[in-house]
Amino acid sequence: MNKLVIADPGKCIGCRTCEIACVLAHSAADAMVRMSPASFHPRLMVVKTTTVSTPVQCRQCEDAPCAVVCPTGTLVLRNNSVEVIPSRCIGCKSCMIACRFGVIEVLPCEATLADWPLSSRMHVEAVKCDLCEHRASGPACIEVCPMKAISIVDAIVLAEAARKRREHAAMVQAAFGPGDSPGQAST
Amino acid sequence: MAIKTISVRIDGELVTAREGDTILDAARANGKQIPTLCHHEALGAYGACRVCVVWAEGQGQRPGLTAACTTPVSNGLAVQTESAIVQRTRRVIFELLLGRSPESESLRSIAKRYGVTSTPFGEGAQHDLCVRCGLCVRACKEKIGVAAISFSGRGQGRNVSTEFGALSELCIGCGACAAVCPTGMIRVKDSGGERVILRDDLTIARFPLLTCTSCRAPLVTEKFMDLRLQGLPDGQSEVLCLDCKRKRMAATAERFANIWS
Amino acid sequence: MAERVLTVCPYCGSGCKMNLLVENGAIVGAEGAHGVTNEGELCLKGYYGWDFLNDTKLLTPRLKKPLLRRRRSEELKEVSWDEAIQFTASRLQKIKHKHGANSIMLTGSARGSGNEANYVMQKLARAVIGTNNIDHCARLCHAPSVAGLQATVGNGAMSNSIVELENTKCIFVFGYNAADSHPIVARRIIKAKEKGAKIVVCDPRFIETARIADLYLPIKNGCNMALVNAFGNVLIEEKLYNQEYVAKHTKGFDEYKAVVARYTPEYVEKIAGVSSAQIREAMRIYAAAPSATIVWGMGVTQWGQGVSVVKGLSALALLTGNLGRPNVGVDPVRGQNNVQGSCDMGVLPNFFPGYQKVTDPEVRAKFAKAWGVPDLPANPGYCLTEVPHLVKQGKLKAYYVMGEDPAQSDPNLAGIREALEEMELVVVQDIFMNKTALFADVILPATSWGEHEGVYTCADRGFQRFNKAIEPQGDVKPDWEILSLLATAIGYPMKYKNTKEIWNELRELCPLFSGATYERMDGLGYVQWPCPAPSHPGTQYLYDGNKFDTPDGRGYLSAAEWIPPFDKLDEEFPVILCTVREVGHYSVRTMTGNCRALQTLADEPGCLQINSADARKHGIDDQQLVWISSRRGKALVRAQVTDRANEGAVYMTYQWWVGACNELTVDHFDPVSKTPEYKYSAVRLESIKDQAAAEAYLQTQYNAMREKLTNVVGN
Repeated sequence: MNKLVIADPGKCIGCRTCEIACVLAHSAADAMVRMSPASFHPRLMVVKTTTVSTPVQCRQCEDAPCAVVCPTGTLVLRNNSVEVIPSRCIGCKSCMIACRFGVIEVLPCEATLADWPLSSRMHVEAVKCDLCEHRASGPACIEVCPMKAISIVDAIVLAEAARKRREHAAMVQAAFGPGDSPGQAST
Repeated sequence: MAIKTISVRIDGELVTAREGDTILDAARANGKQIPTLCHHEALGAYGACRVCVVWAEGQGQRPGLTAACTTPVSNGLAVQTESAIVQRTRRVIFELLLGRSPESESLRSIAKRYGVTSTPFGEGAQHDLCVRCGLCVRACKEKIGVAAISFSGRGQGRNVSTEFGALSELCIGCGACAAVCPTGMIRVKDSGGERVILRDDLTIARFPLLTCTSCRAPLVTEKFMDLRLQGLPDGQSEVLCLDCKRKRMAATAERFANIWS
Repeated sequence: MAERVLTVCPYCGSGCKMNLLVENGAIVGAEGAHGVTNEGELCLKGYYGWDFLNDTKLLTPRLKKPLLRRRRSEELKEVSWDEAIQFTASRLQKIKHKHGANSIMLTGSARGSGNEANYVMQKLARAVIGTNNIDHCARLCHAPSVAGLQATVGNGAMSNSIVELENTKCIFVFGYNAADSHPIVARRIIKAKEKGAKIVVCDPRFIETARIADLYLPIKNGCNMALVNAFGNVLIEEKLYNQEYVAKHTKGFDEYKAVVARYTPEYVEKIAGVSSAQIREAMRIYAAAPSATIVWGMGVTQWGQGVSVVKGLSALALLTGNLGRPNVGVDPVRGQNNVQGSCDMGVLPNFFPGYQKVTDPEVRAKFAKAWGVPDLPANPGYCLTEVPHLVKQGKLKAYYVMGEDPAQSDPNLAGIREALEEMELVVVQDIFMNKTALFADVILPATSWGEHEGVYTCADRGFQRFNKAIEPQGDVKPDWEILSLLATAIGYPMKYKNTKEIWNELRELCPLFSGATYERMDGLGYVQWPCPAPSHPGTQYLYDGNKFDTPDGRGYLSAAEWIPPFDKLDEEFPVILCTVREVGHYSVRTMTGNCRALQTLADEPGCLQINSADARKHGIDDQQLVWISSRRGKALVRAQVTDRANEGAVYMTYQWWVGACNELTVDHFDPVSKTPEYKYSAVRLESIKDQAAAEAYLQTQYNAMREKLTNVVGN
């Protein structure tokens, strides 16, 4: 199962500290000095609707539609996630349209001469949550969130959460008796 | 099936390459920088711009200048990427490119890095931003699969065009051509709910844009939806903008509140 | 390898301990430290709010040299410290001789300066100049809390601590938005909920805390007193109050009961906009909890009846016995990083440091003796919100502003601008050029947080030391040193070796703080006053054993009749404007406006939160620029359509220049605390057809303002 970064809306206060941390974690060391709205593209974005505040980010879908529609193999299922090979992107934006959640974007990036083959002035690349695989201490957003609302979920964590829910359901069932459980027709 | 490895020498250093690699592949795999312009990892090697010129000699390879992106490695091959003749030749290549496209900022900045700030070529000739690298053509044909644009003409008359130079009926309006273009010759303009793909004064295509079913923001062309989302199961080709998709995701995320504690 | 310097965040009153990472004499990052309140966490301001120290010039230039002009018609010119101090001293003395000491008004700073600097400032005002006209921006925010709580329970500060918030069984939130004001406090609220606490929220907007509340009352703007009276009514009528506690520890019950008698939930329904059932439910939850804490903020204090409402909230706690033990209390969560400290240090017209009254002859004698003067002024001084009015009356001639920006934060900015122009002398002591400084005759450049050390008091009375991390650039001095030089020039020799010396001097004079030595505040040290002796552990919660700090030791129950908001809605101005905060910027934005990451997230002209129905009615789309005007002025702002805002009201934050909400706010004050009614101004909205022109106008205005401020400094 793919692992993914996910936030708990029950704890989010919408402060956007995670967004800044994400941008800095994916920029050169002096990024703070050059940061501007034009170049600010966090891979998780805080959304505030009338009833919920939460950052949204790539769900690393098992059947990733972005990877299915990508014509160049830029998006691959690998290492328990959906990985991006930026040098393969041709900027067709099929992934953006296919993504159910709107969490992958094709953006121009100012390639630095040091880390890019000199093939384009402004290379475009598909940008999405990459679980901060390049960071020794893991995802930057998880580190900075003052509410500790963000976490990495993998098969083990999900199994544990499911187990807790089953336990809870069992307790409810025991309290009400089998015939009165909600949704169960009495025989 | 194991891939056969080959030993080649790049700038005097013995490195390992895989059979089937080009010199460019082998160089990059071993941390050696060779500049390129018309090369793209996802598109077939073309050898149009010659910026990746190197000196190579060895078994089956007559000593001489060659494009690293299209030359396969062979056992015993010796490659020079920065010898005097390679550097001189590369500078001339940049001068030639600048002769065609003196106004291209990106070309100027790459050329400057290799010591080229002016060119003796192209005076009186027709200038435009297109360096004839073929990235747009290859992206459209090989990956998008519609071949709405291709090369036309020969020699000085070589250009990139649509069928008969008319508004393309094949184009789906994805804008990949503009995205890969290194000089900005091809541009996508979205305004007033319409998308226009322009190559200088040639209009490649023009489309009304489908709007987000929720907030009515102009989004994507219908042909794009038809062609590019073919691989997905039915019901997954919805027209929703990023913001509305995210809002919807946030709403479903509410179900995950406090789930982990 | 980066060096770690332990310090305290300079933004909100949460008192977060943090490490500044310093490399080659410059700050390169920040990380949380394990302080008492923040436990290692920081919000985006703590993590990314330090690069203003690199003089980014994003918004305003750093002040690096004293500036002076002898005539208002001239431009400010760089001068030496000697000249600037001499000029200021002689002008102040001239004005004092001609118009009296009380024609001079001074402010302390609730932000980076620190407690020691504030102590020296009020000493300058009282001992050197001879006036009690010393105040600071608490006047604009929690002054009603101080007054209201002092009158009812004897101490104007949070009764219980931030750490206790996560263990209380009920958090009653009234007019307070923790998520935007104090993320670290919001963290405690979330933890409390995880531990099973009930959350009740009363607020016109669906704030973040309302999202997780067990009961949310979407109250109408301006109903506070009526609703709080109704709460008291329910507690009494439904016999939910603690009769024994009331009998033993309070007084005034009968009068209180009489006032709240007619504020039945049914009567208050229309005023409050919530059902009587909800009003009753709120009190049932509150009274049933084994421990309950009321937290409030500007939604309570920035009203013409702020003091009375605070007294009313205090009454609810007294009625239910939610005082004098852990995990309960009355918690006015103080906004700025050192606003509690400024109050502690007596930067108030009616108190010496340590809350000792200026009207008390024994107190005056004690301070006079310690300060070596024959006597000290006996009458309470002016409040800073009275300044425009007093200038019109000819009573104030000079304004010495340290670390504040009244031309940005006062209500009805047109009024304060007029006043500043009228004054014979305006002295500004600050780290950045700001709007007030445009009116200055002399500008004295100070060191910033990060460049000096001292003590801050965070919201729950906790003293913590903050430390110097880098050397200041430019010809600047610490605030306390500037004031000492000035005092000496005026004829009162004043010289301190360091902040510790100042701290020790004030400890001797303040029984409440005597035990809080520098040594005890080393490292992650945290001493909550009252702390009367070095062996005293500090006081986490007040009124232990239900002994209140009132003359008779009892809590005083008080209620007042509801008075509707002052600024009247009519056809011309049919919408309510309420001012609020945002989490990514702080106060007047002189610091955060110069921080790249924070400016990237939010920039001019700021947002106008508006309900979607109202937006439709006015023909306004999300993100469009909009004109907003009131009886006092006009501003340009960007619409943020959200149904978290209630219909009929719009919300703006107060840190923007082009989107300056204080051009619009009404200068109507609470009669006791003189705090402005920021939360209710009548406004009109106008949609703009030519958005492109409006955007261009916005840019030109913004750039013009920036240029104006930059040109003053000349670099």
